[in-house]
Amino acid sequence: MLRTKLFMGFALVIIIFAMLSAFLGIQTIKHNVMAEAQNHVRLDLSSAWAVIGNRLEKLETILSLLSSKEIIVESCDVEDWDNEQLLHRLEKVRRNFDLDFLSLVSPKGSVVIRATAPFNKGDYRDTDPVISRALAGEALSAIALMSQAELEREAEGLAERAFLELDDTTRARKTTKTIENRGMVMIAAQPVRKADKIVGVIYGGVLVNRNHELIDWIHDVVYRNETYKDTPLGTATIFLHDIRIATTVCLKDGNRALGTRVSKKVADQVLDNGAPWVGEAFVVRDWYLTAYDPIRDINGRIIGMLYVGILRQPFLDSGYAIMVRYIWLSIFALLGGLVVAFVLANRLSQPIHRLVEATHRMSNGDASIPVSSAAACRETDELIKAFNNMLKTLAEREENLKATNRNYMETLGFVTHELKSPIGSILNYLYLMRQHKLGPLTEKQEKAMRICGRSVDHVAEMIRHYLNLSRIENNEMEPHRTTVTVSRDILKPLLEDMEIVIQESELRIQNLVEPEITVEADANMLREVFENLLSNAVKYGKKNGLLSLKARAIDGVVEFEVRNDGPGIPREKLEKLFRKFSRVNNGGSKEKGTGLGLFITKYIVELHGGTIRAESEENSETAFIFTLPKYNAGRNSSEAETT
Amino acid sequence: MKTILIVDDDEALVESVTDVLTTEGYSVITAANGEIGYNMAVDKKPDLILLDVMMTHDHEGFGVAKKLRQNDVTRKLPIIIITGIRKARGLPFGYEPDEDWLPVQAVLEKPVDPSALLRHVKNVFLEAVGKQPVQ
Repeated sequence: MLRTKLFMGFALVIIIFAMLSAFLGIQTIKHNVMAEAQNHVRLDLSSAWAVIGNRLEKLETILSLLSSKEIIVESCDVEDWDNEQLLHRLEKVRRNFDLDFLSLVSPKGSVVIRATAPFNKGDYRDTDPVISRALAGEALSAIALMSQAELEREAEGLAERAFLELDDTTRARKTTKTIENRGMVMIAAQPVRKADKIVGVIYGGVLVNRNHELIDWIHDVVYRNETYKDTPLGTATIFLHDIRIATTVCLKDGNRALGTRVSKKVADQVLDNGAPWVGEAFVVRDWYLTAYDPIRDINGRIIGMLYVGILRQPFLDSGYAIMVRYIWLSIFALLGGLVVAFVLANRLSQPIHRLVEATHRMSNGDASIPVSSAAACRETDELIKAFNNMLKTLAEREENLKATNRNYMETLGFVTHELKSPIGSILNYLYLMRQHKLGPLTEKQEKAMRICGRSVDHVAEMIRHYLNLSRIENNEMEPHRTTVTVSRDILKPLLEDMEIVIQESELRIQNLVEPEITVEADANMLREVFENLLSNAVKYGKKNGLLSLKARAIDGVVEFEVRNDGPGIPREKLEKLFRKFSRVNNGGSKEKGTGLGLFITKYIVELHGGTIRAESEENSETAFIFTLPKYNAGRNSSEAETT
Repeated sequence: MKTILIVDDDEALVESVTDVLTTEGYSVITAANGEIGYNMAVDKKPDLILLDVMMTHDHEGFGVAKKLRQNDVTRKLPIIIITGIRKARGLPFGYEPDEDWLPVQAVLEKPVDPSALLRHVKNVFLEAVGKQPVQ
C-alpha cells in the first residue's frame, strides 16, 4: 500500500535523524558538562593558591611589623642578644599569630634569638636561600623544605609533628622509603634595618605537615563545607613530593589519609615535568575531578604539589538530568514527526488512492463520478483535474459511440424488418414449387429449389438474429411471461416447422421432454432459444446421429438439454461460444451462421433468471444445458402438475 | 369453398400468399389497406381474414381488428394477424391473442412459413366446426 510505504520512508528518515541527533546531543552534553567540571576544578585550584598566597602575605606582614619594632631594631643595633624582654616579646607575637617558629639572625647569619627554643642558638642559617636573601636586604616569603635536624633546632616537637610513616599505596611510584621526616614550611624573612644598615634578619613560619587548620581553611574557602549526598563535595591536599602531608581526604576509617602517596601517573606529570594535571581520579572512595599544581621553593625547585578535587557525581547527575530532558524532548519530537509523517503520507497517498479507485470504477464501466480533489498539493490536484478531464472526454466519447451504435442498431432493425415481406414471397413460391403445385420439376430444378430453400432459411435466420440483436442492444427485450407448456406450445410446432431441414440433415430426433413440463417464460423468446439450439444441432450434427431433447425438474427450475452426436467443440472454445459473433465452426464445417444465435440464447435464458452451459466431447457429442424457472409457484402449482 | 380476405399493402407478398391459398383450394379476395379491407369484410363476409398490422399507418391492422369486433356483422369473423413488427415499434415482444385488446385467432410473425400459415388456416376452420385443431 502506498500510504504505508510513504509513512515507512518518512519514519525511517525521522528515526535515523532522531537517533543521530540523540547521539550527538548526548555526546555534546557529556563533553560540555565535563569541560565545565574541569573548568570548575581549575578555578578551585586557583582559589586554593589564593588562600596559600594570602597566608604567606600574612606571614610577611607580621614579620614586617616586627622588624620595625624599636626594641628589635635597638637590640640588633647594639647586638644586645641576651635581652629577656625581647625574647618574651617575640614569644608573645609567635603565640598570638600561631607561628611554629620565630627567630632573629645576626647580620653574619647566626641565629641569635629563637623564640621557641631560646637555648638553641648560634647555628648559622645564612645558607638557607630565604634567609640569605633577607640578609641581602630582601623582604620575602616562600614555601620551603626543612630537614629533620633543622626542624628539631627550630622548635621542640616540630620534627615529631612533621614525621610521617608512609602508607603502602598501590598505584604510587615504587619507593624504598618508609618514613618522611622532612617538613614543608611556609616561611617569611624580613631584614631589620637601622638607618639603611641591615642589623639583622627576623624570620618565622608555620609547618605544613599535619597542619589541619591550614588545609581545612583552604577547603572551607574553596568548598564552604558543601556536601553532596553526605559526601564532601570537594577535597584539598598538600603533598611533600608525592606524600600527603596535609589533607581533607579521609580514609575509610575516618582518619585523614596522611602518609599515603599520589599515583605514579600524576607524580610523573607534575613532579617531573612541572606541569599541572587535570583529570578524573578515584580518590579513596569516590571518583573526583582533580587538579594538581607543582609547589616550588624560592629557587624554583619542585618540592611538592597542591591538589583540589571535586566530586564527579554532581556533574554526572546534572548531565544525566539534562540528557533525560533532552531524550524526552527527542521522543516528543520523534512522535510529533511520526504524526506529521502519517498525515503527510495520508495526504499524498489519498489522491492516488482515489485515482486508483476511479480507474477500478472505470474498468467496471462506471466513468461518471469525478474524483474529488484531495487538496494535498498542487501536483496531485492537477493530476486529479487531468484525470477528471479524461473521464469527461471518455464519457462523451462513450456516449457518442453508444448513440452511433443505437442509430446503427435501429437502422439494422429497420432494414432487416423491411426484408421480411420479400422473404415471405420467396418462401411462398419456393413452397409451391417444391410441393409441385406449379407443375412437375426436373431433378435439376428440384436441386435448385432445395439450395434456394436452404439459402432463404439462412437469410430468414439472419433477419431473426439481427432483429433480436438490435432489440438486445437497445434494451428492448422485455419478457412477457406466461405459463408455457414446453412440449405442446414450443417443441411440437417448432419441430413441424423444421421438418424439411431435419429431414435433409438425416438426423434421428428423440424428444424426451415430458408433456407436463411447464415453465414460466415468454413463449416467443423460448421458441427462439429452442430454435437456435436445434438449428445448431442440425447444422453440426453427424449424419444418422442422434439429436435428443430432454428436460427434468430440479429445485424449482427445469433443466433442458439439447444433445447431438457430432465433431464436438474443443474445450478452450467452449467458453467463447456465447460471445457475440462467435462461431461454433470446428474445422472444415461449411455451415454459415450469424455468430449471434448462442449469444441471443444466453441473453434470453439469463433474462429469465436461468443459466446456460455447453458440454462437449471432441469427435463424440455436444450438449447445451440450460435452466428456466419452473411453473409451480403458489396456487397454480397443482394445476400445472396435473396438466 | 372457404373465402379468405388478405389485407396487406405489399403486392408481391399478397400475390404469393394468394397463390399458396388458391392452390390449397381456398377462394381469395384482397385489400391493399385497412379501410378497403374493413369495407370488404363487411360487404363480402369472408370466412377468414389475414390481416397485416403495418400498412399506411404503423398500427393500422389493430384498428381494423377492433373495428371488425365492434360491428355486429363481422363480430365472429376469424382473424389471423400477420406482422413484422414487435417491440421495435412499441409493441410487446411476446404478445399473444387476447380477448380484450387483441381479439384474434392467431398472431404470426413475418416471414411466415407457408406450411405454418396453412396449418393455422386449417386450424381456424376446424375450430369453427368444433373439431380438434391440427398441431
